[in-house]
Amino acid sequence: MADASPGPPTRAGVSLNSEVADMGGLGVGIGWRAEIDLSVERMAGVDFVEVVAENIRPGHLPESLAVLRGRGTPVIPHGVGLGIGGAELPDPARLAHLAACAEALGAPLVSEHLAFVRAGGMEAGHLLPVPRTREALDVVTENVRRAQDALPVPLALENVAAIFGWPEDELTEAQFLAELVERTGVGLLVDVANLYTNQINLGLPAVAALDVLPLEHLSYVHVAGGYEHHGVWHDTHAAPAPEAVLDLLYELCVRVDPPGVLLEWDDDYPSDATLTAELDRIRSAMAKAAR
Amino acid sequence: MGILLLIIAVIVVSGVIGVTTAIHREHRRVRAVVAAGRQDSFTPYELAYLSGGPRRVVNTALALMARQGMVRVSRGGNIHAVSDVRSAQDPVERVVLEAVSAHPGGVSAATLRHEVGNGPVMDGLRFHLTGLGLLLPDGSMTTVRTRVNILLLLVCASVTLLVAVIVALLADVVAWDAGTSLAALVLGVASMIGVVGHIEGRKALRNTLTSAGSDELSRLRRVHVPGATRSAAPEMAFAIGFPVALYGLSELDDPQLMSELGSENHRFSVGGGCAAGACGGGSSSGDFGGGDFGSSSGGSSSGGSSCSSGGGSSCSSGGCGGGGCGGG
Repeated sequence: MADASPGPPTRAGVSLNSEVADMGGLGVGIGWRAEIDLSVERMAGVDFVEVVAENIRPGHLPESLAVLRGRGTPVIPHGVGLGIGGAELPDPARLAHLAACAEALGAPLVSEHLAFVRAGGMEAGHLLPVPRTREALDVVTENVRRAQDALPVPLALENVAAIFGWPEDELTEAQFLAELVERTGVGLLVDVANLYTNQINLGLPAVAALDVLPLEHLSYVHVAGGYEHHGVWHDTHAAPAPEAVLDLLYELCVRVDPPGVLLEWDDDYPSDATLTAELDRIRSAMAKAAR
Repeated sequence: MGILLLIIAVIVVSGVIGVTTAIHREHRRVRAVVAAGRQDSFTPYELAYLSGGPRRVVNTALALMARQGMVRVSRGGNIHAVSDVRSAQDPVERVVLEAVSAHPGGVSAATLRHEVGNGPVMDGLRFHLTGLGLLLPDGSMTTVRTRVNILLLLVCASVTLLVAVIVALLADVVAWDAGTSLAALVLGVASMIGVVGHIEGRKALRNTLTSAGSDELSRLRRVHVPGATRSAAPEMAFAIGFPVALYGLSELDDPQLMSELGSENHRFSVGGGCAAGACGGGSSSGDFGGGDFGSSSGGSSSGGSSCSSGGGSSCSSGGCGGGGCGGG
């Protein structure tokens, strides 16, 4: 389990180039959603949870999260709307919200996506891939630094499941993230389901990405399921993770002992038994790599 | 004048006593239905209907189904479908599943009590139990209801006369004599008897159990005593069925679940306006079994449904409305 003592987080002693949260091993967790709040509270073996930051108010936390925090279960605010990969600087109000969430939850870190979600006042409604050019890297580096300065805890960025790639891309996503980590010390949230999605839909080799990503900066890992339809993988977070995703988790665990692995399930919630079985499958994949 | 008032008072009190007696006699006659069939075992839902009416049936179903993982309960008393549960054997459970599935974002237990409790599946239970001679058939209380209404009229007349006599005495319109005083006394007694008789009559109207039904319920309550220790193991979930059916949600050996399922929004009534859990029949309501536990919980779930995405990762803030999108 992580250093789970409740209390305000601090950024003291965290240098820019070593911003990976000192989590001491989060364990295996699950995405907290209001629909499954009691299930998550009662489920055995949930070491930490993640909550979508845009869905909570720091001053009025859901009772369930307060209960989990009271037990010492780490709760990580996970942003979906910052758009740190955009051309514009991150919105101070959104950063303040993330910071307030981290404070209210006593979170060891905050996570977001390496993506842009709006431009010119238009909301995309999706996590869009960043143009992976040197020029864009400079912009995103500045955005990440601004975010780091505004947050009281380390930031981790997640690779997204892209629905397309930009023709002028100069770097792979792994190379882009590696360079971003080197420049900013930002943590990594590796979503192996997103790697798998990109492999199926865009032909980007997932294992090769693991070889490039600076996994020593890994904060935690996402695992999720989806379904294939007409050759396209739909990353729905509403089905058991396919074996291929767990194989990727295994490959990751062979390379590094992840501080935490979290199951994302966002719709069509199955029984507690099924969710527990999914957590067990994750543990098995981790244990297999440890042998 | 005093004698005249006394005669009127005696007529009124006689009427009150007569109608009150007639209500009791008719109620006993109506309830003395001989059980038409013999059923050795009951489902928890049949028992719940006998014990607490439609509301108890829904609460029992929710308790059993939640314990078995057929539905999910979240804080605030919201019930959600479980994606890997598609059907149920029991008609009540099937209807509950359908009702829950009709609300993709979750539905409050109170809403389910209203929707399912007033639905046709309850008629099925009622007809079955009526066929067994355990519940009174529709319309069998018509005479009782008429007499209760007549009694109410007599009570009103009695009270009105009593007030009039007292006012007349105080205003010296009539003299204080033995006849007048006795008339006032008789009218007072008639009013009290009438009020008590009316209250009991109203209560009798809500009791739609036959004598056989009452006997069967008493027998089962002796078999299943309240507060018995029960296993919390999911595979033993059925064990809470009879206690919850007989005594309400307070018998659910899970205080948190009990609290969430007991959440009320006070918008709905079930089974034709029964008080909380105090129904013993269908549309005409009953008064058996004691209320289900009903507490208002202060759950604070941040509602909203989730969303998913195809192809790419999950939605950003712009695309998810107020719902709970997962991260990518």
